[in-house]
Amino acid sequence: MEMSQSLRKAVKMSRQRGFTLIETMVSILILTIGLVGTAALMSNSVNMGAHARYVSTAALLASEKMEDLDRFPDNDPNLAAGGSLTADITGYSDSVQISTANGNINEVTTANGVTTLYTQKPDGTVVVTSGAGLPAVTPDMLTYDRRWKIVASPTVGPNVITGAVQITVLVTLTNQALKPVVTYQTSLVHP
Amino acid sequence: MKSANTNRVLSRRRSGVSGFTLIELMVAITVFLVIGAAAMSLFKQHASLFNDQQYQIGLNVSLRNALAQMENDVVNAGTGWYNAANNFASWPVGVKIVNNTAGGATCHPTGTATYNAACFDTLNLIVPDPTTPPGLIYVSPGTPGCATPALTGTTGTGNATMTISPVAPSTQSQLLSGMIANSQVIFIHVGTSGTLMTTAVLTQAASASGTNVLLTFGATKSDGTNSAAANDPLNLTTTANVDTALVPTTLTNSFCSGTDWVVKVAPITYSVDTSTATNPTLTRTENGTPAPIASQIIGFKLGASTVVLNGTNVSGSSGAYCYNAGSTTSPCYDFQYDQIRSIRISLIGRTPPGLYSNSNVYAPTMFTNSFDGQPYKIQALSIIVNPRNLSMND
Repeated sequence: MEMSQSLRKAVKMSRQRGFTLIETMVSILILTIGLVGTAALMSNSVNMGAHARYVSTAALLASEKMEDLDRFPDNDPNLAAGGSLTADITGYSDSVQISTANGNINEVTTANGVTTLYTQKPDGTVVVTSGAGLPAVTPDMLTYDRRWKIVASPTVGPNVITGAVQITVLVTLTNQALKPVVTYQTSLVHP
Repeated sequence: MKSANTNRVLSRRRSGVSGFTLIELMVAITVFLVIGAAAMSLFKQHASLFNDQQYQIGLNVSLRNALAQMENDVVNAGTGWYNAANNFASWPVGVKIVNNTAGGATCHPTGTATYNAACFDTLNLIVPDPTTPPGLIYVSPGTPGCATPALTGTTGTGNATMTISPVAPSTQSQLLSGMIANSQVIFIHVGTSGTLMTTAVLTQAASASGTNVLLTFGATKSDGTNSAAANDPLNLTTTANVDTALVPTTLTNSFCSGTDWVVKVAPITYSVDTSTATNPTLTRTENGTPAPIASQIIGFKLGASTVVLNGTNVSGSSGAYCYNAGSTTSPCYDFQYDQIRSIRISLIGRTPPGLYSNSNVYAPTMFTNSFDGQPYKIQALSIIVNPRNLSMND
């Protein structure tokens, strides 16, 4: 009787023991995995934020080119059918550099066969240079390549729109190793 | 005996299954602290990265909002003229750009975060005042037509007057309440070769003259230009801002009774307010009421491309955008309100410079931009807008 009481007491005490070192280590390991996961999520969210910003800029630059081409009448040489979305073709492609470090925006466009470089700086100056290309790329620059394709008398749905031109602009951020690739495409029919 | 043995066994087992020893506890706490510290530093780094990202996204959104607002206004420039009267000719007045070519250290002193007005351009959109009806030019009873035209001035000095009459359903009292002192008005002559115009600012409120209305305004010159900026704050006709070769085909001082019109304009002006030099603010002023559109704007430049007809520009340029409204040399010929075909608007903004401080212990090796070495980020965006309502022959 006395012995059985002692045993019960011992069993009770063994149930009250704390964690072993191994158990603690395992729990810390799990905690670490959780924290690393959270950190990865945060870094992912920062990256997605940047990605969204780049896409928004790409969309703006696409609409800029669209408006630039839209100012010409249908029979203007600038709206002659041609161009490609898969290769740079002279007269149907250009580039914009936006620097995140010095705030410059450099844009090269070709109109009527003349290449013009526009460089705007945050000190209130704009330099317009005829016949010049883009400056050398530095790591802080976002370089957006723009390609456009012009189709005369396009087929829209079941109809051929005679006399109109369809302009399709594709903008791609080329010098940043981002996945997915920052790209934006838009199209309009110019009556 | 047996009982004592059992007790000894139990006692040894009890000591074997107790919690941590002090050493184990210390080791566990140390490991936990090391991991905790690593996690905290990771969070600290991310917090600043995240804030940075937030500021840049904020900057991007504010630039895009400002550009969207301008796009909307510019695309619609030139609307409202046809509501005013039904026999207006094709009306080209819509956009006027004032370029400021100073730039450099004149506008942004080295080593400072300050900007002044010399850095920025101004965009004027000429819109008819929606609350004031147009008035029909009225010379005197019995002399309709152009036999004795009304003149807006000859010397460009002093005041001139002109009588206008309301056209039903508008009333004399509507004209009187709209044509107040300092109103800018545009005189429109629908001639055989197109629309001619000039502009003036009322020097006093219009007064009743029988059933008509008498306007008193700063006189123009005989070719329809203005020499004083006070007579033409939008730079539509000021001699320094128009192509003199085009003056005879666009401006006049001579208006016919019964066919020509006077319209009050309520311009929309985009300019950068530099009254707080460390926070240049893009401001949209509609009919005299300013509203801030975007803060921390450090670049606002406007390029214009002039009319393009079948690949040939009227003023002979290559279709490039010109940033110097005063230039008369290729490729940037002088351009004016009735020639602008397309506008390139560039905005450069920055994250607020005050948000970053060099005493930030979590970012001792702080980002500094390569423009002026300050710890703020800069972003530039540009758009092109065609004012669709202006007469462009396509």
